[in-house]
Amino acid sequence: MDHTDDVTEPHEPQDETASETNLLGDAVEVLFGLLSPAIAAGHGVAPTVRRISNWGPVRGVSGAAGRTLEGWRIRGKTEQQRFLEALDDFIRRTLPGVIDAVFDHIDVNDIIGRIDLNRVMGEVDLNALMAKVDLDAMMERIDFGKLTDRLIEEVDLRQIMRESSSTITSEAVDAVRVQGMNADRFVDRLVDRILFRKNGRDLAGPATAVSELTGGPTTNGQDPHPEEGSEDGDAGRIGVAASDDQG
Amino acid sequence: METPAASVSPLPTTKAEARLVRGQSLQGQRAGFISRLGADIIDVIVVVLVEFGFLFLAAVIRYLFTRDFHLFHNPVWLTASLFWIIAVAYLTSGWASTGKTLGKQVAGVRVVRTTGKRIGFRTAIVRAILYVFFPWGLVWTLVSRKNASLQDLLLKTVVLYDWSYREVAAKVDA
Repeated sequence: MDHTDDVTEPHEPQDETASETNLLGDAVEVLFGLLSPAIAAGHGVAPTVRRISNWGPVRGVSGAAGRTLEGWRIRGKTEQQRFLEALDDFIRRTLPGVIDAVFDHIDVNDIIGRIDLNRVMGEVDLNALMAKVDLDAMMERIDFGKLTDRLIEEVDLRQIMRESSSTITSEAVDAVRVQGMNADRFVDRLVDRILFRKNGRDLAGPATAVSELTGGPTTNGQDPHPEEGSEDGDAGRIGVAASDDQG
Repeated sequence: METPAASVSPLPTTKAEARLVRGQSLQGQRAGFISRLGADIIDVIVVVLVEFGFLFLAAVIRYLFTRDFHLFHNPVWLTASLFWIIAVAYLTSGWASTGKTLGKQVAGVRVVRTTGKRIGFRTAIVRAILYVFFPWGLVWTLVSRKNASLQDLLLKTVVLYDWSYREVAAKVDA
C-alpha cells in the first residue's frame, strides 16, 4: 500500500513548478510523471528481487562473479598507477634537456634587440590619435546652452537663485551692515571718551545725499528722515570744512 | 544725537525688521571706522584675487612659449606694482561710477563729495592713489569728529551709510 504513497510524491512538485514556466523543470516533472508507473513497478518488484538474490545458489554465483570483477578492478588500478608514474618519470627526465636545446637555438637578447621600441612608439602617433578626436565637434554637438536651460527648468534653479540671493541680501548683508554700524558707533564713543570730548561727533552727511537717500518714493510717511535729514544736512554742510576735523 | 528717528518708526516685530529700522535711521550719516575698514579689507581681497588671476594668466601664456610654469617666482617689484595698479584701477572705477566698490557695497557705504554729489574721475583716481600708497590715512577716522580720513580731508569727500535705500524701503513696506 505504501507504494502508492511513494508514487504520488514525485507528482507534487509538478504543480508548484508549472506556474514558474521553467521549461527544464517542466521536462523533469514530465519525465517523472512518465516514469512513475515504472517506478511503481520497480517498487512492486523489489521485494521479489531481493528475495531471489538472497536465495542460496543465486547468492553463491553472484558472489563469485563479484570477486572476479573486484580482482580485475584492483589490477587495472595498479596498472594505471604504474603508467602515470612512468609518464611522470619520462617527462621529468626529458623536459630539461628539451628546454635547454630550445634555448640553445634561440637568442633572447637578440630578439629583444631586434624589437625597436622607439619605432613602435613612433608608429603609435599619440598626437595624430588625439587630433582624430575632434573635441570641438564633440562640444558642438552637445548644446550646452540648451542643456543648461533644461537643467534650470527642471530644477527651477531660477527660483532658487532668486530666493537665495534675495535672502542673502536681506538677511546676512543687513545683519553685517548693522553690526558694522553698531561697531562704528561704539568705537566712536570709546575714542571720544578717551579724548575727553564733551560734544561727541557730528556725523550728519551732506544734505543732498541724505535727502536723496531718505527721500525715496516708497519711504514717505513711514520714514521721518526728510525733514530731519535736511536739518542734519545743514549742520553737516556747515561742518564740512576740513579744518573742523583738526581739532 | 544719532538715532532720533528710530523711536518714531513703527515697532519692529522681528530681528530682521529691527535691523532694517536701525539701518534706515542711519542712512546718509557718516560711516565710522569699522564699516570702512571692513569694506577696505574686502576690497583688498578682491584686488589680491584679481592679481592672482592676472599672474595665473601670465604664467599660462609664458608656459605656452617656454614650457616652464611658475606662478610665484616673479620679482617683488612686479608683484607690488601690479597690486598697486590693479588697486588704483579698481578703486577709481568703483568710486567714480557709483561711489561704491564691492567692499563698500557689502558694508553699505558710499563715497560722495562733501556737497553730496558723486566724486568725479579725477577725485576718484587721486583718492585711490592716496589710499593705495598711504592706507594709514584711514586711521584718522577714529579721531576725526566727522569720521573723516586724511584722504577725505584733502579731497573733501565723505563716506556715508548707503544701502541703496529704495530697496531697503521696499522691503520694509513688504
